[in-house]
Amino acid sequence: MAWNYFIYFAVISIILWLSASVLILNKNKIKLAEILFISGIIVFAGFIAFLWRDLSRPIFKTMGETRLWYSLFLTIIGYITYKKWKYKWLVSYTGVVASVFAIINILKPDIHTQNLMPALQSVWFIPHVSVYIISYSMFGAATIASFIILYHLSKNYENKIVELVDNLVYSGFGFLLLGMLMGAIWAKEAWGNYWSWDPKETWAFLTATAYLVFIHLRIKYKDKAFIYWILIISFILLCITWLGVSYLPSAQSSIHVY
Amino acid sequence: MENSRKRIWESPWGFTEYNLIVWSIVLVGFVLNYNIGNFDFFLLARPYNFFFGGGIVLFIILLSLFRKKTILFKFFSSLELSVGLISTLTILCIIMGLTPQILTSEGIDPGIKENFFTRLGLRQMTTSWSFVLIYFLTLISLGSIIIKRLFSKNKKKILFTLNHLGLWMVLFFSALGYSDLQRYIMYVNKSEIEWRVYDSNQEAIELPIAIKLNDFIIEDYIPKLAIIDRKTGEIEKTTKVSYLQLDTNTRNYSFNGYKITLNNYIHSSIPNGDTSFRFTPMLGSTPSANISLKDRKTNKVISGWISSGNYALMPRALNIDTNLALVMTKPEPKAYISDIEVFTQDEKYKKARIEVNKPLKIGSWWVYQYGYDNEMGKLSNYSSFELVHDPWLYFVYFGIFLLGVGGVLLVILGKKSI
Repeated sequence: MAWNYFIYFAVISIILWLSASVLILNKNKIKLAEILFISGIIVFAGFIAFLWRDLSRPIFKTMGETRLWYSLFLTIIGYITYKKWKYKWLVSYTGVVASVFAIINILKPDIHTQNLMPALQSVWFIPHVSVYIISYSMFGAATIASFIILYHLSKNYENKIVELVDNLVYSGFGFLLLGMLMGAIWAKEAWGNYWSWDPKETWAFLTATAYLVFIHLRIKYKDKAFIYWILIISFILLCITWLGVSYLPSAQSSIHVY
Repeated sequence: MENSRKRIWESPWGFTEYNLIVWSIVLVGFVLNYNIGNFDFFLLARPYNFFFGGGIVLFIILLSLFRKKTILFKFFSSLELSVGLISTLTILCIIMGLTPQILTSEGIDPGIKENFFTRLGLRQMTTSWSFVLIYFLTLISLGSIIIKRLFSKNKKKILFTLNHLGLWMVLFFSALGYSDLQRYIMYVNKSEIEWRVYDSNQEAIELPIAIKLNDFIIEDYIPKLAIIDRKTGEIEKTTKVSYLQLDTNTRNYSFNGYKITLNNYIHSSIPNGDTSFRFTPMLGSTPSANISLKDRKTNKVISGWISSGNYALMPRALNIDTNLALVMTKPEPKAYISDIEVFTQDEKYKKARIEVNKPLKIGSWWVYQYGYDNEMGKLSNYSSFELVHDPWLYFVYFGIFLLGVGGVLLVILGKKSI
C-alpha cells in the first residue's frame, strides 16, 4: 500500500533536489541550496522508513526497492563529499541522477523485474553498475582537468586544479574499487567464482591498475607531463573496458556482453 | 630531470633501473615458459600451498627483521619497484585483454595450434611464468611496504593498511587457494537422490553430499509482440519500435501506428479448437492473447488470438495484411528454480529452493543452480547443480572486506587519505 504514496514523497524530493542542484551554482544561494538538498534526503528517507514498516520486511527484494536505496545513498554521499571538498557540481550531479532514478520508480516501480535475465536479478546489480558509473564520471572530469594542466604546463598553473585532479582520482578510485568488489561478491553468488578473468574482468582490472600507476607515480615522479598523460591513457583504457570490450576478438565468450 | 643527469645503475636507483629489473624478470618468465611450459598451479595443492605461503610470509618477516641491515628490504619496499610492478602487470593484462585466451573455464581449447606466442604463455596469461613471477613479487613487495609503513612515523596508517593489507590478503589467499578449490557438476533426475558428481574431465566422483530433486520449475516473463514480414519471418525493418512488452495491468497500447488492445491474456493455455485458447495449467502450455489491432490511418480493426507456441504447439500469428503479421515472441525465462533436499554424511539436512543468484550453503559446500535440459525446457526431467568447496574463501572475503572499507574511506577522504 505504501507504494501508492510514493509519488507524493518522490515528487517533493525531486523538486527539492533539482532546485538545490541549480541554486548551488549561485554564490548567494548556497545555504538555501544545502537546506533544500538535505530536506529532499529526509523526505526520501522518510518514505523508505514508511515502506519498511508497511511491508514489515527489509526492502531489498525488487529492483524498484534497490533503486530507492540508490537515490538515497547517492544523495547522502554526494552531500558528504561536497562538504569535504566544496565541489558544487557534486551536489548538482548526484541530485540529478537520484531524481532520474526516483522518476523511473514513479513511472514503472518494477520495470527491471520484468524481463531481466535470471543472472542479473540480484541486489548487487544496481549498486555494482551505479558506483562504476559514478567512478567513470569522476575519472572523466579528471581527464578534462589533465588536459588543462598539460596545456598550462609551461606556464605557471594553478595548484588548485592539481588538487582537484588528485581528489577526483582518489575518490573515483574508491568507487571503482567498490564496484569491482561488489562485482566479485555477486559473481560468487551467481557462478560460484569471485574472479574468473572474463575479458570484461581483465579490462576492469587493468583499468584499475593503470589508475594505480598514476596514484603511485605522482608521489615522487618528476616529469609532470608524463604523469598526466598516464591519466589520459588510463581513461582510454577505461573507455575500452566500458564500451569497447564487446568488440574485441578476445571477448567472444564473455559473460558480460549485454 | 635529475634522473637523466645521473648515469644508469648509479645509486640511488630510480624508476628506470627498477623497471629494467622488473622487465628482466618478465623475460626470465618468457624463457621459462618457452622451455618448460606454463606454471602448473596444481603444484601448489595442499599441503604445498601451506609451505609456499609460509615461505613467502617467512621471507617478508625475515626481510623486515633485518630491514636496517639489508638493502633487500629497501629494494622490495621501494615506491619505484611498486610502480614497476603495477605498470608491468597492467601491460601483461593489456596483452591478455587483447588476445583470446585459450584457457577458458571449460579447460584448454583443443583447437589451438602451438606457436611462438602460445609457447611464451601469452595466450594463457594467468598461468604464464611471467605473470606468476610478477604476481608473487608483488606479494613480497606489498608485504614489505605494509611493514615499512607500520614502523614509520607516518600517522596515516589506517587507510593505507586497509587498502594494502586487503589487497595482499586477496592476492595471497586467492592464488594459494586456487588449487584447493573443488568444483563439480551434479545431475539430478526429478524425485531421485544423487551423490555422484562430475569433475572438469567428466570423471565421476562420489561426494559426501546428496541432493534430492523434488521439482524443477521454469518461470517465464509475459512475452512481447512484434511485427514481422510474412515472407521472411524477420522483424519488419520499417517499424520504429521492434518489440512491444505486454503487461497484464495495461489494456491499450500504441505500437508503430497501430492501437493494440489486449482483450485477454492467458499465460498457460492450449488451443481450444481453431479459434481460441483456454487456460490449462500444464507443462506443455503456451502463452496466448486475444488482441484487437486498429490501424490509426485507416481505422481498420482486426481481432484474433495469437500465441508464442512451443516445441509441440504451432505459434499463431495475426495477419495484418498480405505482407505483415503481428506475432508473439517466445517468452523469456524469469527464473530457474530447483526445489531440493540436501543431505550430508555428517547428518546435516536442508530443504530449499535454489535458483540463479540464490545458492545454498550446507556445511562447507555451496550448491548453485547450474543447468537443465535445454531442449525440453519446462519439461526438463533433470536439473544440474554446481557444487563448490572453497576452503580459503573466508580469508579472501576478509581481504575484500578490508579493501571495501578502504574504498569507502577513499571516496570520503579523497586526497586527504594519503
